[in-house]
Amino acid sequence: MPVFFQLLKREAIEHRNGMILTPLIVAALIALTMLFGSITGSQMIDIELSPSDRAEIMEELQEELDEENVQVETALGIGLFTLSVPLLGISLIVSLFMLLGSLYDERSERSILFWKSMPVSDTATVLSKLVTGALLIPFAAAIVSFGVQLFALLVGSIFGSVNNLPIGFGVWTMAPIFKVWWTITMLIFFGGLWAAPFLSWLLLASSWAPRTPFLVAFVPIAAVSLLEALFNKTSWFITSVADRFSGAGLLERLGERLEAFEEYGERGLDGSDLFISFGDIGAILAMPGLWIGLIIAAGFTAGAIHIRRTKTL
Amino acid sequence: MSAVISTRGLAKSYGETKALRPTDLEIPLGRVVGVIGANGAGKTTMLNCILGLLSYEGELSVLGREPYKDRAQLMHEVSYIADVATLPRWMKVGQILDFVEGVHPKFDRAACEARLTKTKVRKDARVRTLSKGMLAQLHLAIVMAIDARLLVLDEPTLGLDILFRKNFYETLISEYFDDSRTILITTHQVEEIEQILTHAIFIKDGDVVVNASMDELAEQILAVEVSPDQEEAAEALGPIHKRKSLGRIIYTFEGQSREALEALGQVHRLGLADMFVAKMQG
Repeated sequence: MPVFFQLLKREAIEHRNGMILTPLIVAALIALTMLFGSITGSQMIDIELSPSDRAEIMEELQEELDEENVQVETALGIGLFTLSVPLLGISLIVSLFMLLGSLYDERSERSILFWKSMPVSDTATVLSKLVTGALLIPFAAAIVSFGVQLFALLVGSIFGSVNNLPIGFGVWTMAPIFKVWWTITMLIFFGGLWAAPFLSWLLLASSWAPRTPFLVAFVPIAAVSLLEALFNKTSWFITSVADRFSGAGLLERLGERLEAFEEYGERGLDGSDLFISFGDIGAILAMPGLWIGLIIAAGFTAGAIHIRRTKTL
Repeated sequence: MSAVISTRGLAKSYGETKALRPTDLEIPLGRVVGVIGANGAGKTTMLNCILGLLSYEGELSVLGREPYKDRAQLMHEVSYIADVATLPRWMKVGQILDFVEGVHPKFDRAACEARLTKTKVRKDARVRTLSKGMLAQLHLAIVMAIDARLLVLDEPTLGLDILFRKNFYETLISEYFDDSRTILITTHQVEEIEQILTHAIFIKDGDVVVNASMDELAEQILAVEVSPDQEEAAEALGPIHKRKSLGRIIYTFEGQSREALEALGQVHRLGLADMFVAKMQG
């Protein structure tokens, strides 16, 4: 779909700061912190540990490694996930503001008159903005975070071998790097689908807002939440919105496993429990909430397309 | 398909306000049509309907399509500059060309770049750094590199200096216009486009009051310098406009034969701007 590709490319150019520059800056900060930490860590090992303490720690580490490789793999996997969390979290915020601005900014800067002079349908345009917010921005952040993970393994393996730890360059074979990448990719993809009703609501607000799309998007959410709290004494609506935005509902399965890992960690846990399997994908696809959300998202998106088509100025 | 634009009862209202009253038009290929009217007369409304940017009442067919339903498809054959400075300010010139090349099958990038080399617009410049004149040059270079059947220009030279404006229209006619295209232009600088127009449409309060070729207009609308003693005879012929100048009275007539008018005094051809003023004030 070459025209659609051109539209995505245009979005990437327009949002290069939020999509590429911001993750790179955050990644650089994380990398610097790691570097600094490993250098001071090395110094501490040299200065503060007596040779006997050091030997003891080495022994313990070696024992654990000998016992069960899987547990180390799982621990490394969690470490790698953790490195991606800040970047993915920031990409949520970037997506939120990108979508709120998307169909509003082109009207306020009047470039919509130029875009509409091209043989590109409103449907393709609006969908390109949704795909950018739901998938492209998080994926860009994820790819940068994969770089951070590799850097962490590099620093870790150098740190390990410089300090004669039992695990040095061995992390490269033990770290479940591809499983982590696969899991993050699937989380983003299904997270995007899960969040679609919220994201397309932002798009609808952006297409309609006479000014400040942020208020147009969030005042109704706040109002409904308030009414529900006042009259029903519940907070289902706001919880659902937050769940959709953060992807919490999807992470539930993974969350249960993390708890299990903490409880049974001592005994060792099957590392594959940490990663998304095809069975998980089936389970996600079987969630009615996913499909209900997609139907709602289709409605909001159709609304945004209609408004983009009819409200040029 | 002979008509580029064909309307029957094309109208547009905003609530009680009638921006465009029911209009019938047939505009074939090979014309340069000036759409002339006062501020708020409905020129832009009409053009925006034609471009698929506005909904409308009545029938409107542009190159056989309904613009409002079929805008994206129609834009293969139609290009336009609807306002000054609509190019996205955050893009670089080269990125805009990449985009247009990517989405528009009838865009000739080489021709566009060749035209840009004659200007000060550099490909790596960001649009927000370009001057008004450069923006217009860039936008014009883009639309002229699109092999369209209909080109619509709504005040394309607003805020630009006289040298640029002259050059703009000359280029448009010498390098772009031919029998296979129609150009629709609105501007307040009527004198500047007069030479390039084949036809003119006058709009007054949402009504198309004139739709004729320049030759027809030159035949139909004539001015006569009348001495005071001929005033009564002139009034009897039903002038559409009258003004006094240096002791002479200048009457403007529509649809009177040149012979009949020559009996009153010296007959002049009118410029488009004077015809417009006569029609609007009459």
